[in-house]
Amino acid sequence: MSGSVVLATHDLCKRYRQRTVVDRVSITVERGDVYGFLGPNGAGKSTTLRMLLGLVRPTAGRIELLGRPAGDRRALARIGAIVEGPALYGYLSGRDNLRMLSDLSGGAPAARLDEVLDRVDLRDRAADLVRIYSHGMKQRLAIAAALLPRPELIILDEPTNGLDPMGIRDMRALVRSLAGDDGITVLLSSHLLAEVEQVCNRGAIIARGARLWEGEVAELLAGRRRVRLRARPIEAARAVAASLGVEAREVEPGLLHVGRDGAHGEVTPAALVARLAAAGVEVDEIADEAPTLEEVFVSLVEQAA
Amino acid sequence: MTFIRLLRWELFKLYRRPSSYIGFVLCLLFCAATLFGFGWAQYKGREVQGLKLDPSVYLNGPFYANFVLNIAFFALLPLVVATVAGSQLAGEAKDGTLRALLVRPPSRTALYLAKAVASLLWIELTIVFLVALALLVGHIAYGGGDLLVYIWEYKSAGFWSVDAADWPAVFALAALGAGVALALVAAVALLLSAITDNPVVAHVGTLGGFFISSVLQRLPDQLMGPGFKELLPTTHMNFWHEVYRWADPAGDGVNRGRLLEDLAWCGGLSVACFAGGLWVFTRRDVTS
Repeated sequence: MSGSVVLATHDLCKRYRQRTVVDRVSITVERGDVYGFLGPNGAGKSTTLRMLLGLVRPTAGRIELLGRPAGDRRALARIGAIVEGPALYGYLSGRDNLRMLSDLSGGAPAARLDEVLDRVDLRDRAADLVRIYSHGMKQRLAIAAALLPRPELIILDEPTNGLDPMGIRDMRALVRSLAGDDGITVLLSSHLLAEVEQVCNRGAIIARGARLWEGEVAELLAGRRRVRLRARPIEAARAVAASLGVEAREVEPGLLHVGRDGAHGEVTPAALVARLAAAGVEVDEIADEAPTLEEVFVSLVEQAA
Repeated sequence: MTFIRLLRWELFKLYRRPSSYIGFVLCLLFCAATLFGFGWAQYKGREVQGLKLDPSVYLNGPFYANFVLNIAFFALLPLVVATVAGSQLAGEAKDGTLRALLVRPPSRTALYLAKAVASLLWIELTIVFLVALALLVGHIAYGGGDLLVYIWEYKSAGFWSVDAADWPAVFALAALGAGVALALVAAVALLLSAITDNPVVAHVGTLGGFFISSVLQRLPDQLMGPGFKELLPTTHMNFWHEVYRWADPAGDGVNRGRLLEDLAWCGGLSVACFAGGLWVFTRRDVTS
């Protein structure tokens, strides 16, 4: 990552009459990021993306997209985007769709069309009308269209929506390859957390229009590492955790998730075992683990609510 | 350059979209239905406005073509125009393809203008098709001859006849004028299409406005005063009827003042609606 900012929003707001859809959202996407933009349905993700692309006017705030304001024509020429699913002309062939969209972005030689069609594995079907394509094929064709102008940044809004498991796997591979092989910065909006966890290095979580978190995905998860503990009697184990000043939550009967940040510093599994043994608690299972992004996400959204 | 590129693709989309051809199909059906209706009427010597009309004289190719143009201008062409122009933005908004266009470099202004020009060209093509078809069918079914003219606005002048040598020019000018007048319907449809994401709203809104205005315009002066009628768009859309008066030997000729006033109204309203649509489109949020 070079560290140069590709996209930044500053206190971005969107209000429709009295309803605030996006509330002072500030995010920063750096060159080389695969940036996950997370939020539950209706959180304001698509509205934010629409503001970035000039489809929706912000009520307040500022956007810098490749060093230019939102919707700037020169910036748009260097971006590929799919907003809310593939939008293609069903009465045109796949190739005609690409020819048209490429022409609007300044044009591309036929060889480039073949190249992107190969990339999404649609060259054999390029002459077919798009209306007979499956949803997954349309999604792939839309990605091909987004890749045509050799973008520096690609914005994908819920790219795996409506795809079958194979399609989701292929999409993940494609996103990884865009960032890894082509060096394209990717901004990926999704409510599917496993998807983001697997492909994104950085991200932000928004809920009810407000940003709850932004940073490295790995750091978010590492900062919330915990000890998984099965012990008897469970009440005594809880008391030990409390004496160390860490939170212990019973997630199912007999199973505790014990926090690592104690009142007197970090609590390691070894230290915990020693204290449990001293207190006469029998330990059946103990492991150091990171929470899933889904757990962190749910916890953050619940806190915000 | 961008505009030409956009215009080319907008025309290409119209050419490839099956629904663009509804207008041509309706023109065919309309010509056939009119032909059938004329045959069904079993014309006999009929007295109209004190004139004994002999269908063997007036029911000829030019009369048929002129009849088709005049009735289609009121009943068929507004429907075709509202469908084509009303689908331009709202149809793409509904299908989601509008956002695919707007996240690319061409400006909204260029896109709007390309769609407006493409719509007008397609509409003119439909009118040319209708006129050519009506002339062809009329000539085959009834042959040539003089053109008998009756214009509703000049009903006090009764019927008049245009010589066989003169009617092609008069008819061509009338068709051209009708095409220009229908630009107002296209402008209203495009304005509504810029406002809404639902093409049906644009179609129905445009047609509803056109027919309400047409009906009010035709009500007796005792019910609907001439002053009010002057405010109705359709009153001014019939400016092209003036061209028939060039060839009215007994008439006063073309009322140039009236013609210019109607043209100014019609042109002004069209430009205002086109500009209003552009203003809305360049400012609106695209949420579809």
